[in-house]
Amino acid sequence: MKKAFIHISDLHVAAKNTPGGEDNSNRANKTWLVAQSDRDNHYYIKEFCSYVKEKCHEYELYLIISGDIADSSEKAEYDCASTFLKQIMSELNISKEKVLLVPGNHDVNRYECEHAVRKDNTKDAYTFNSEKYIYFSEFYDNLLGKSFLVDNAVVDYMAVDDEKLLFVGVNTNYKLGTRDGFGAVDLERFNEEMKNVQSKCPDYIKIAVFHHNIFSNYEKSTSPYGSWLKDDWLNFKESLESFNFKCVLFGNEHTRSSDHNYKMEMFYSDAGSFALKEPSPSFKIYCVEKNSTKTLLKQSLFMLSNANKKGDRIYGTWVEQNIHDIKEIEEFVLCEKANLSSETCDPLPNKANGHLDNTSQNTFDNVSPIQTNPQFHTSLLEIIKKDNLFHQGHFHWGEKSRSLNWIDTISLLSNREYFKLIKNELNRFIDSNKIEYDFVLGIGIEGNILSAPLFSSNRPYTYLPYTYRYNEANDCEKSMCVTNGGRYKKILVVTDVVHQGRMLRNLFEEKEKVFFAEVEQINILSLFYTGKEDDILDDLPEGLRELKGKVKFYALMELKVGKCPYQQDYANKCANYEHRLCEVYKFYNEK
Amino acid sequence: MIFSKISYNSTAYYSLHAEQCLNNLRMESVMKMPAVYQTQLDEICDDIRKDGKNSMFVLNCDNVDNIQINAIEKQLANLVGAEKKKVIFENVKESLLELLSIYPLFKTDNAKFRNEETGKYRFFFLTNGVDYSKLISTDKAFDEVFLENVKEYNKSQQGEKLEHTSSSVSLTTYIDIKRLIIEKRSFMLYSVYRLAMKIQAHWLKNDVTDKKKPILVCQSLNGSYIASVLASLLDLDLYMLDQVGPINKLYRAIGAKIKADADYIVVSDMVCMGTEVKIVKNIIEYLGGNYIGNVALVRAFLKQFNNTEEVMLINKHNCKQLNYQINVSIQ
Repeated sequence: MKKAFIHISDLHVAAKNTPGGEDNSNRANKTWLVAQSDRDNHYYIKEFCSYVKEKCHEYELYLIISGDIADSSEKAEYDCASTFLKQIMSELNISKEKVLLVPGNHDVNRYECEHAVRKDNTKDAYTFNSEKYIYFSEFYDNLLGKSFLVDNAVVDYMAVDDEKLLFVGVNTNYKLGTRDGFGAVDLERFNEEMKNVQSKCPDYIKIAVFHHNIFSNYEKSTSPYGSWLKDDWLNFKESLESFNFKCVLFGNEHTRSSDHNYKMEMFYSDAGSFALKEPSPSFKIYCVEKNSTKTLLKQSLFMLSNANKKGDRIYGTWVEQNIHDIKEIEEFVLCEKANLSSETCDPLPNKANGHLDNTSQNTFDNVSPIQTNPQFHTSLLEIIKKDNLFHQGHFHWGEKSRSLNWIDTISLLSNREYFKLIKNELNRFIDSNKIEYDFVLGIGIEGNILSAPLFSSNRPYTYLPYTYRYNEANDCEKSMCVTNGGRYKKILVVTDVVHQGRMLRNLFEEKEKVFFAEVEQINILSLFYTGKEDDILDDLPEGLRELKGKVKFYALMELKVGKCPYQQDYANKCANYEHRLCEVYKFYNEK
Repeated sequence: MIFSKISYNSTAYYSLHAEQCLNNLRMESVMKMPAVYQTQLDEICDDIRKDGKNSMFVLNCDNVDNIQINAIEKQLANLVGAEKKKVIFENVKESLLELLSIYPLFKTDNAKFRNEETGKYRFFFLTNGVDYSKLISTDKAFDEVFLENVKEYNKSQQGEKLEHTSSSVSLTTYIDIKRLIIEKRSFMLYSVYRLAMKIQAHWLKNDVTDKKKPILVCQSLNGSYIASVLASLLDLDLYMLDQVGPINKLYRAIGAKIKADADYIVVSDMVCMGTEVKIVKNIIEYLGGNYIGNVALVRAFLKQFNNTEEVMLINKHNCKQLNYQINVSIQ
């Protein structure tokens, strides 16, 4: 029988009154699941079960709950949750073994934690795990018939043998104590515990389930890493990658979404909130599809709509959403043919599981220069086409540099939405490839516009005109305004377009040779590479090849432009130029 | 990283909102962040703790409606208690003080500084014994420090006259804005932030709709730096005219995508005679756009334009200090 995984999150069951008897209706009014309102909850759950049954009658079902079962981690809330979760399990025929449940930040009982700190203030608040999970543990035991291991990083795991899928629940509340805060995992424990889990299911495809969201859809978010501090998430991510996790499921933000990492090797999915009234409640179902070439999860998203509409139930009705319309990813490809053998599905040897092997590390040395993220590529191409930003004609950048096409990057960067798309991709590229730099140089107006908001607030920064435009800049504009003297060893150079790279070589070897003399590594990051694929040898465009060893070149996208076929005698040989059969654009001053 | 710290007359000034925005410049809609968060407050408190030179510390709360309270309560108590630092809030809302639960801490003349209409305190002292007679606002302190910086980056040529690159005049001095931007990176980002706040107050009142939002235009390399940071802070589109200044040669006829009926604000590093601004204004208007004003870090006060904002104005009061003269030669 085919298998499907129901993913719900952020139930936030709230009681109308606090344990101390104070009015809590403010919180309780925000959710459809209220403690002490079993009758209403029953209908909400019944409706959900009927809907799922209808959608998935051919499937064997599993249930994944990524945290925040309760709103304040109080006993009454868990008693209520226990009742309706049992109802779901019973109606959908899901046994305890087919449920994976992790705690969220609202499942930490702050009051008990504070009480414990008052008794013993020698320890950090977040270390009082028994107190933190006092009622959650009881609920967990009652629902699933097993103990919740309060100190563990790996809460539990669920192996689906037929499909060779392994769902691993992770506790991301490691650093939470009396106050709310960011997601974090006890990494040492996680790595140890994962080794154990992995030894039991060595060649399974791994999917992590935890609570804290890793990116944010809200403007108010302060971190590009969602509810994580940068280092905490990147370290955890590195660990997940080292164990070859292919997908992570989470919640917390109450907004459904999905994404993937740069190389599409790891997929991310947020189910949204199951019961909070704002924004609209949602849940997801992932159906496993496996054929001779790949194993994938096909996701479906369901949302409640028409709440309070006459003739409908007060909470509305569940409606399946069109995945494409709402910009979600339809399929999470977990394993392709080449990876199906147990040999390659085994974890990569690495430092996290004790076998350090440099070849498996995602470092500079094995990063290919042009790694186009397919989604980014498609979006950017659509923009270029829609806004007519790829021009044909005669474009002369210098006597020796003449092309037959021009990408209007100025207009591309002018639009704030396009700029954000590019900026996010740049950020992601640098983070995922771990590009190190201690100084940033923006080249040209375009390079400056791209880099100023990204880098000038966190690294020493300067900007220069394109070298072929030096004649048009005054002395102050042409000055780096920075002396190096060995201070900066790793330079990040940001520009919009690289064709052969001669202009940059001229910069490093002529115009600013003093600054670059003691530099050990120059990382060039360009929005476009417009040369020929064949011209990239040793990962460098033709004009930069002699700087092999010192220069690394990266581009976010490849978009070829035609080169003028004539040599220095083009003025007499090129009929278009000689007779001005078409417009000739000169981007430099003739001497 | 601290961006907004200004030291003036033994007083250190910090802008909480600027710290929040500039430390998160890589992100979107930073101006709309609903609170000042832990990381920034930790850094400011840490900086105050380590500062042995200044005797007073002003935390400017302009544009701050909320603060992550668990981050600052204890730190403030520690600063004014164990560390004996004289900490003062500036332009702080009563609601913020309530949130911080710091009413019990104040003892002195705070009521004098309370605006009855707004409920805001111009200054709110967390300790007794502060000599506030010498205390000036963050705005004034910033103006003084900016002027000092401009003087430092002023290439004054004794007796020599510098030809202006885009107007038929000569100058007695040249302000090297690029060097200032690069060498005083944090301070200049704070200056651009302050310019952003002026743009917001002048042209983005009442949350103008996305369609009516003005578009920034820059025309030089220095201008592109300023405009790019402004666009990120204010979430505005940004257009570049390549290139009108300082040495004029307009290249991109095919790229001139000025939108008819859209509003444009020209961004410059330094406006002297305004020639470049006028060229850009003409191009915008010729192509059907609406020029609605111009902004600059430094502007010579020549009354060439209406609707302008700047960080510093060179006027009759400070031009001598800067040795800034514009000369016209009719020969």
